Parts: sequence; C-alpha cells; structure tokens
Amino acid sequence: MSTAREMMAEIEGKSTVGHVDFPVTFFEINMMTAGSNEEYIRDILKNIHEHGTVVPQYVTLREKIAGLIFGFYINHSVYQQNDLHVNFNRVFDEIENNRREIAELRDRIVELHRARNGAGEI
Amino acid sequence: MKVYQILTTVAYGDAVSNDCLAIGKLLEEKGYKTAIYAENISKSAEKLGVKKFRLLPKIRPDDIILYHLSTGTELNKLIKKFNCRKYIIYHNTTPPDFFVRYSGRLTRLCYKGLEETKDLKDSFDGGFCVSDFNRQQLKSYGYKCNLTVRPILIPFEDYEKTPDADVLKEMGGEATTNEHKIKNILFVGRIAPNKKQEDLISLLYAYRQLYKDDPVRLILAGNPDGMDKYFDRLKTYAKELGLNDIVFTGHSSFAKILAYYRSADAFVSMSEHEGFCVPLVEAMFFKVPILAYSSTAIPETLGGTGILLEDKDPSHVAFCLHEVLHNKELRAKMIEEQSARLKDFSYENVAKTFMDQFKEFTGI
Repeated sequence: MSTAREMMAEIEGKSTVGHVDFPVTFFEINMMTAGSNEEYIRDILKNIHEHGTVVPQYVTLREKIAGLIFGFYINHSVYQQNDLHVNFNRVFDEIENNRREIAELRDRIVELHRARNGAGEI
Repeated sequence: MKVYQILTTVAYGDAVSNDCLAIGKLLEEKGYKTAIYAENISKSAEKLGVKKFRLLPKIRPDDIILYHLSTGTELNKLIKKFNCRKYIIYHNTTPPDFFVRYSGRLTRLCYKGLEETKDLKDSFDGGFCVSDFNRQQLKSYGYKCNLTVRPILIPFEDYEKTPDADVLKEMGGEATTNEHKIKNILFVGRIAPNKKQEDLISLLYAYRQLYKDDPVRLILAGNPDGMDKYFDRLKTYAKELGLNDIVFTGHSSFAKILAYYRSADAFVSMSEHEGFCVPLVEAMFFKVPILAYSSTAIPETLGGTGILLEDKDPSHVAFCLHEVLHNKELRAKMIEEQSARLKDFSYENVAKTFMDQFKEFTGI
C-alpha cells in the first residue's frame, strides 16, 4: 500500500501545477521602509522605558544583608542608571539629526529635479 | 551526589525550557536529587523552583551537570571550570546569517554560540542530542565524547487541557469535527528569519490566485519580540500583496495555542533551520496533516510522514496544500502515518531512552 508521500508523488505526476506571478517579492520590501519612523521611535521609547526601570537589587535575604553592609552599591546603581539616560539622550539627538539631514536631502533632490525637468510630479 | 541542570534561560513556552523542566521532573520521579539553575528565569519558572545561576552552590566532584546549550552565553565559559562529570544536552544554535539584516545582538549571540560550542568540544564526558542532525553537527565540530540521540521530552498530558473557547469559535471550531468553510493553515514558531514566515505569506498569495473559490486563512502563531524589523517587513510584504487578513497571534497563552492547533486544517512549515521542531510533533498529536520544507532536522523528526517539500515554489506548495486539504484519502493516510510516528515521541518511550542513556553515561 502506498504511503502518503507516494500518493502525493503520483498525484503530482498526473497533474499540471499552475504558476503564479508575484507583483512584489519579499526581497524587494525595503527594511527601512517596512516600519515608519514613528514606529522606530516608539520602539526606542519602549526600550528606554524597559531599561530605565531600576531593577530591585536586594531580593534574597543574603542580598539584603549584603545591601545593608555594602550600601554604596545603591549609589553605584544610580550612577549606572544616569549613564544610561545620558546615552539614550545621545541616541535621541542622533536620530533627530539624521531625520533633519534626510529632510534636507529630500528637499535638495526635489529642487535639483525641478531645476532639470521643471515643475510636476517626481 | 546531585544532578544539576544548567542553562541560559527558562521561560514559558520554549522547547529548551520545556525539555529541561521535563527532565528535572523525570529525574526527581526516579529518585535523584536534582535542581535547575539558569541565568534568566521567567516568573512562572521561578514558581517551579528554577533558581538563579548566581545562587548555584559549590559543586562537588561526585555531582553531575547536564548543560543545555542553545546560544552564546557567558555560561559556555564558566561551565568548563566545574570539576565534576558534565554532559551536554545539545539543542543547536541558529546560524547567525539569518539575523544579520535584523538584529546585531542576535547575530552576535548566535555567532558566539557556534564558536563556543566548538570551543567546548573537549569539555564534556558525553552528550545527549535531540536529533541526529545535532549529533552530526557536534561531531563535525570535533566532539570525541560519546553522543547519543533522543527526542525532546514532551509531557503530552498538557495538550489535553482546555483550549481557549473564543479562539476556537473564531477559527470555526475543531477541525476534526467541523467542515470549515474557511480552512485554517497554521504555523507555530516565533517570528524569526530562520522560520521563513515570508514563504508562508507567498504561499497564501499563490493559493488564493490558483484556487479563488477555496477560502483559506493563514495563522502565524508566534512571538515577534526582539524581531521588530523582520516582523515589520513581513507585515509590509503581506500588505503589498493585499493579504490583510493574516492572523499574527503575537505572544499567545497556552490555551490559545491549543485552540489554534485544534482548529487547524493543515500545518505548514517553511523553516530553514530546526534542531528538532517540536511543533511538528504537536501537529501530529492534534491530527493536523503536515507539509514541511525539507531542511536540517525536519525530515528526521517527520520520520517519513507528512509531505516533505523539496522546493519552495509557492505555486507548487499551494498545489500540494490544496490536495492535502481536499483529498480525503490522502489526508486520512497522512494522519494515520503521523499518529504512528507520534508513538516514537511518547513520554514513556523518550523518558526510558533518556534514563537508559543517563545510566549508561553515569553508571548510577
């Protein structure tokens, strides 16, 4: 008795498989345009929120005792947190700068195009 | 003597965690003193007694470590230092190439994972591999220790739990008892480039072009966390093709996953990298006929059952899918063969295999 795979091979042998043309392929989907800038910024904000949450340090009894003895770790954690925020602000500035540059370049492209081809749709 | 299982992450729903928890339970049932330690633990795993790796007590020379390896981690370096018998449980690491376009962090992690796996070749007294594919990979990395193969330990009684009623209703009810007007095509797996969800989207487009009067619904059940760029690209691709009704479930509860399986008319995988692929076994359990692209450990897990696809041409896959959905004789044969294959993965069989291998390795 035939196995399912043999049955399928037999069906395929007797049939003609149609062909479908695709208007677009996955490789043509540009990753940068897959999500809007707003979505990227939303994601970054989400990350900041997650990383910005101070993780409670002293969970177990052993840690609590150690925390009492070596309380300076609290300060250490706060410093780390502040450093993180500074870094995130730098990333934000970078994004803003990039967006401004992209907008300027887009305007320049439009300007050059119109200078060569006159007004109209690009 | 105590048996310690050590791994990077124990979280809800992933195959490595489930395997680790099932082994822990099995060892306990057999009377061994055992514990699980992980770097990252979800809240639900904490309730199950999994402890933070940093709380690992002093390991004695007569203790045994079972080390689950599936990614790049600091543990891969630390594990070498333990002066006791150590056994690798190898789940495979996804090749980093898949992630290059989407995540620098994951690319680095996977690259590190592969390099560290190679670097650990002389560090273990033996190894348990969840597939022969994984075993061959370790051998190619120069592992000389005894390497055995046993499938992932799956406690199937969990699958008998009640499925989410709302999802089940929304999907048209159980596939085994309802003739669906809209057939449900399911894939279960996190949203990740190696799983190739884009090929399933292409399949849906081709199917709708070829079989206009045969409505189907594509359900991509998987968590997109950490894969935002890939997920965005998938959604844009679907939108460009005019496929606005694909069900991206996101992170789902276990009850919802059960409902998707129970309502599925076919399970299709286009994945290009699997060390074992638990969802195939799950589909067998829920009597869902499987079509899967032949890659890595997939042919081995299917064991001659399901329809194995040698190419990814969407028109050809759509043709095969149409047959599976409508050819009752073929469908019945597939389910019969898959059910027979499922017995190889029964908890009793795999538990016995594991314990035999464990005793042979350790002599205890």
